Amino acid sequence: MNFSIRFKLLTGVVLMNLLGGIITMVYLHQSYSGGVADDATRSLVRENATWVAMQQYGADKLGSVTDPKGAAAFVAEMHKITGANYGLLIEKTALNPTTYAAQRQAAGLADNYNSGSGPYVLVAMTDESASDFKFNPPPDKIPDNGKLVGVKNGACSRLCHGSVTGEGDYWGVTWSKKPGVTEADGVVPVTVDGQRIGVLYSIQNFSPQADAARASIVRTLVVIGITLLIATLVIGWMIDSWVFQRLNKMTATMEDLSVRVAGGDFDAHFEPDETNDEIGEFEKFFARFMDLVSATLKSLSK
Amino acid sequence: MCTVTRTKGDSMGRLYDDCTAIQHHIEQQGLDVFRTRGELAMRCGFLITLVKPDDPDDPQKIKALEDAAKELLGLSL
Repeated sequence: MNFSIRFKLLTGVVLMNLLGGIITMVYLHQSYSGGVADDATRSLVRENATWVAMQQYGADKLGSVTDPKGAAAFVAEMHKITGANYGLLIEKTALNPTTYAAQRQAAGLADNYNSGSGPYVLVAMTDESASDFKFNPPPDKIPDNGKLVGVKNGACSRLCHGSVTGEGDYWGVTWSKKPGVTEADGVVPVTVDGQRIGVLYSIQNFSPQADAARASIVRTLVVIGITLLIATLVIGWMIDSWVFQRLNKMTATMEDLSVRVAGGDFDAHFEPDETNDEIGEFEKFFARFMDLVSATLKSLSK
Repeated sequence: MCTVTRTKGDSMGRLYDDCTAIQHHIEQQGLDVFRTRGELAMRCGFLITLVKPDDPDDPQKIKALEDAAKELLGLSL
């Protein structure tokens, strides 16, 4: 492929600006994802503080977290305060299967002690389905302030997050199965008498924050895109008018004068423009050289 | 296509005759003299304006000039 320098240079400018745009987009996306995760973590810390206070001061009124009735009251109260959905997971080893079955029966619920495959029993939950509260790591491994399990992002795109399956203990950011809904999953430890016996699994709807962040990133990208487009056009125009148009004019004049001198027009004179840049300097040199050649040829032709 | 009749012998001055014939042709056709002679010079590799009557007949120069005249002007020398 034999492309002109003008084409290659202008293509390079376009490609470099495109590359800059892509890098900016990736950086903004990372920043956006990090911002959503930070929001979710801060929310989790607040939930944990609420949960600690409720455990400390609400046990007398709400009952025990190992009792399905008391646990339901705890998660219902947490839902009322924070707006998130909760699943209270208690380690099987912390429950007496017989007592637990009786308590479930007294509450009008089926025994679920042996439901699920993990180390926990889902003692109580709010609106979500039981399959949403899957968690396997032991409560001892969870930080005091709780830990973010993952974010189900419905505000970005499947292209960015569709490859994350959402499986495993902590799964990062995955694509939300609910269209347009962004949720953050987190866990805080459940402690009774100084001993950790389970986790409170929360699912917080983060759609407004995620949508606002997306709108912000789109606005930023549009501004950057327009800026890069203008920069591309301006740089392209500068290169074209400052370099290539002058080079074209200069080479056309040089060619014409050279041919005329070769044809015997020894009075032909190259008039350089008045600039002192690289092209202007070369034009001055060429004008002197043309005068020398013309004078020499003129003397030879006599 | 034009054909030029020679006025001198082939042993001496043929190159000059060719140049003169070309000059006449250019003037007859009303072409840009400097430009046309310059184009011919660029093609044949020497300045035809510097050819003198007593220049030796270099066969290579003659051939180059005749080829250039035929290619550029359609003139058979």
